[in-house]
Amino acid sequence: MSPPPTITNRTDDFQLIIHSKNHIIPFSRGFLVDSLLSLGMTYEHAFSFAGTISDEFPYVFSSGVVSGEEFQDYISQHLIAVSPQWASRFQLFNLEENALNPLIILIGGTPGIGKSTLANLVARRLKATNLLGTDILREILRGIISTSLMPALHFSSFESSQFLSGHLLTRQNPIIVGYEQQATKVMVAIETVISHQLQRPDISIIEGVHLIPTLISPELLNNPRVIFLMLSLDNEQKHLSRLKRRARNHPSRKSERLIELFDNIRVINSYLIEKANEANIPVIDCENTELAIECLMNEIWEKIILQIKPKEDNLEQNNATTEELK
Amino acid sequence: MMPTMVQIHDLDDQQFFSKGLLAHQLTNRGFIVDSLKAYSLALKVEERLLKDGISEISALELIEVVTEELKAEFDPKIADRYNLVSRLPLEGKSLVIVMIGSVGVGKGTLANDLATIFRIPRVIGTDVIHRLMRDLLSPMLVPELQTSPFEAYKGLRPIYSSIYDPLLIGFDEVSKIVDAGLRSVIYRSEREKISTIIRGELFSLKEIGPWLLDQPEVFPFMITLSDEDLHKERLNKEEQLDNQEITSESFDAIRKIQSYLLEGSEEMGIQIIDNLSSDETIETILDVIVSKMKPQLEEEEL
Repeated sequence: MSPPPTITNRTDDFQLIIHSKNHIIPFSRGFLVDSLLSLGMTYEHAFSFAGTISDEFPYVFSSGVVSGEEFQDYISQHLIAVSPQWASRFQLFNLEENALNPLIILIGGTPGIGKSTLANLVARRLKATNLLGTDILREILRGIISTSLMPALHFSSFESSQFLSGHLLTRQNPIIVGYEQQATKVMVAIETVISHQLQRPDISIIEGVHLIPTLISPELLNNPRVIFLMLSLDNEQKHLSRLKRRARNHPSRKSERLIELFDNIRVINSYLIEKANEANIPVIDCENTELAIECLMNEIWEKIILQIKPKEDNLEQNNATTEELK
Repeated sequence: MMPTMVQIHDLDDQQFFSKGLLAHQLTNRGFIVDSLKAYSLALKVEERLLKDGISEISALELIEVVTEELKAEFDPKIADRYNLVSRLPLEGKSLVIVMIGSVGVGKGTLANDLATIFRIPRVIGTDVIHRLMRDLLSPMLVPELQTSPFEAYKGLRPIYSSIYDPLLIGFDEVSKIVDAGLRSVIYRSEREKISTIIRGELFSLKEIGPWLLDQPEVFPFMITLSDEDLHKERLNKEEQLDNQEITSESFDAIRKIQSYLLEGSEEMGIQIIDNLSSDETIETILDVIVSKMKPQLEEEEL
């Protein structure tokens, strides 16, 4: 990571005050950086952008006061100068209230690759209000459905082949058969949650190993407000060392068990890449966390612009044409 | 030679100390409001590390350095909060914050703020559990799950004496079913050491209250809104987002559920917070958690 550019020591204590509809906010560089991160800018880029434009404030807003709208315009202008993509993201995220709601981001991948860390970062940047792991959905299912009825639910995702009786085993890898069986059950719960969240004005993130792109109902997968991304870790050594580090930092029976099941996890990792390719879902490698978060945010924003924005623009245009016809 | 970069050797998402990132975290998580003050603190931390010739530091050691600088510059209370909140995940500790409250009291906003402060990855609403239970169990088995909890009484089988309010009976029946899912979520959080925030109204407090209070790492709070006008105002705001109409009838139901939950919380001894200002509510919650968990962490050090 390169160090962020340093702020020039300001000689005067110029404080810009922004007058919004209901309140008065003193400008804070941290806050601006935060909202730029939401657009998918890297930290370094956001920090230098915020630094450059706020150095201009004493000259541009010499009265020290600016209206909220005027200020947003000013930011927009400068973002366009960098690249129009930032401006259109800024428009959607900051100016059009609830333009992005509802939005459901699905992040698949095996344990230990850094999935939850990344899902967390995405949640923080997009100000997502719901972050759910598929393991917790499995746990709820376990709580209400008995072992004997659905044995697949009661094993770890990587050893659910144990419950399979011999005659079910075909030429396919039993690890995958068992895992698919469990994922099929958990998917019912995942789809319930997605349908529920699609009716709520929130941004939600669902992450977990049970998100198989070819298993989810096409209707939900093709919903413009559902974005599916797959994470993987090509580097096997790195994957194992991350699992081990997690076991060290958060000792539990589960993390020990995951190390024992490492080979099975790798099988599922390859399987998920294959399925993601089949379903045309982008696969992002997690070896470098910073690159991965940049990639994730970009994929998400590209999909938002592609799937949400033009659809609604077209709709407006269509409405306009029908009105003209009338 | 004096080092120019300080490496952090055990952090997931950051390999080098960055004063900008530290400043950002301090403001983003609400420890320091003023971003310039946060930056100058981060600058002090960096200067100190470099002056001491430290080229490598563990995440925990770094937290201690930041805590000391915070103590020198700001309220020691803020330093304590920062210290505890940052150390929890690194020490493999987890907590479950449970926010009980009726619709529209501001639980959602509070849950999100707390999630940012504690960096808690999981926020789950009782409405999601309700929906899951409804979709997974047959309507014949659980007729009361087929409607919103506020009209659940319509699905009740006629065994209850009419001296009780059917609204509350229906609500409590739904809560009892959701209870199983709630416990699964809390069990899992505790077992896997994953911090979680649970928010919602579907708590059968007589059933789950004592159990919640019994769990050392679970912090239940009852969030209310005493001011009826403010409650209505917040609901109307939500309604605009939700495209759902709040009729005066459903507002009455929401207030009734609030009184019912309040009564349960009082009886069980669950801390009640009137959410007139979300900043004050957050402060109260932080104080409770810090004062209870700080001795635990210190004990382990000895």
